[in-house]
Amino acid sequence: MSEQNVREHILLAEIVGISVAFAGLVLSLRAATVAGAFFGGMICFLLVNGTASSQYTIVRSGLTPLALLFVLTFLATRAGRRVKAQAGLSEKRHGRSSAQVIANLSIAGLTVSGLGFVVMMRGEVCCGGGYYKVWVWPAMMLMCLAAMVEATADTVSSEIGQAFGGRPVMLLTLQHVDPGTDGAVTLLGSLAGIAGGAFVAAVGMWALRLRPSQAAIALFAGICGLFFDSFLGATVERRGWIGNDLVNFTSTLFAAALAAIIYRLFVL
Amino acid sequence: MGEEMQGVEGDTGWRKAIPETRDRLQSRVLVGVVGVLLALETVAVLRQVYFI
Repeated sequence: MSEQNVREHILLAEIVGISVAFAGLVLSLRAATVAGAFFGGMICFLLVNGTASSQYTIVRSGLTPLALLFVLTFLATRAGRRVKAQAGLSEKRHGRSSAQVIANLSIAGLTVSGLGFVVMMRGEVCCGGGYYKVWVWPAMMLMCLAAMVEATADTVSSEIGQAFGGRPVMLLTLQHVDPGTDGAVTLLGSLAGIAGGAFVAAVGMWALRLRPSQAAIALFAGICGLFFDSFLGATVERRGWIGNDLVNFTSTLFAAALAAIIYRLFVL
Repeated sequence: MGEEMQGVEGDTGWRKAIPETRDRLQSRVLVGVVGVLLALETVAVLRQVYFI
């Protein structure tokens, strides 16, 4: 076995250990159900495996922004819990379900996996381009970060908005509605969400070894995804066509795709 | 991420617009499709390193 192979084995063992520990932590904090923690660990594994490099420590991978996302969303969910409970809007005691975990985090994990690579390559070939070696890898990193920024901003904005944001307004009509209404936003919640997303983008820039312009694209795409989520909530979700899990999944996918398109069209 | 905000009977009057059964079905399909993709990707990575 060559030295390179040994290194790969050690790195993979580290990633497996960290992913199992992450799932255990999520479960012990009751941040997710057993199935939710299981899928969370799997996403952590794919995300870290797809972004880690044997030239750097494991902290310089998707693990750091993922951990920050977890901390920020966990704190935002706990913030003002009494207010949310009084309004009948607090999170279920056993935490996020597997559908919620997958809806918010799966895109981040899949974009840096083998599947993400194949999809990006096919897309480049279909567009008739031959620049995949130059742009596909950084674009995958950007997509991953944009999805994490969107997931953070969305959760923080809704949790902080519910607790401290006062009476929300509908994004499309600017009419005041009751807290909890699909697609409703508050100024405080949106600002908190954007601040949380910016924090994840800044830490992600360092961890994923991106340039500031690349992190800015991920942040912009993530914020667009946040408002796309509210738009879907105010339209298709409010009409009862699709549920919140599908809205969240679509919004993270939107943020990731937007980041790749901007990078391909304007930066390359 | 309003899904985790669970409305309770007799509170603010807010309810999910989507029928419960459709909501549940959509969530199950999401877990079924994307969950399988995640599992396949994970197995593929482990296989690549440990069995080749």
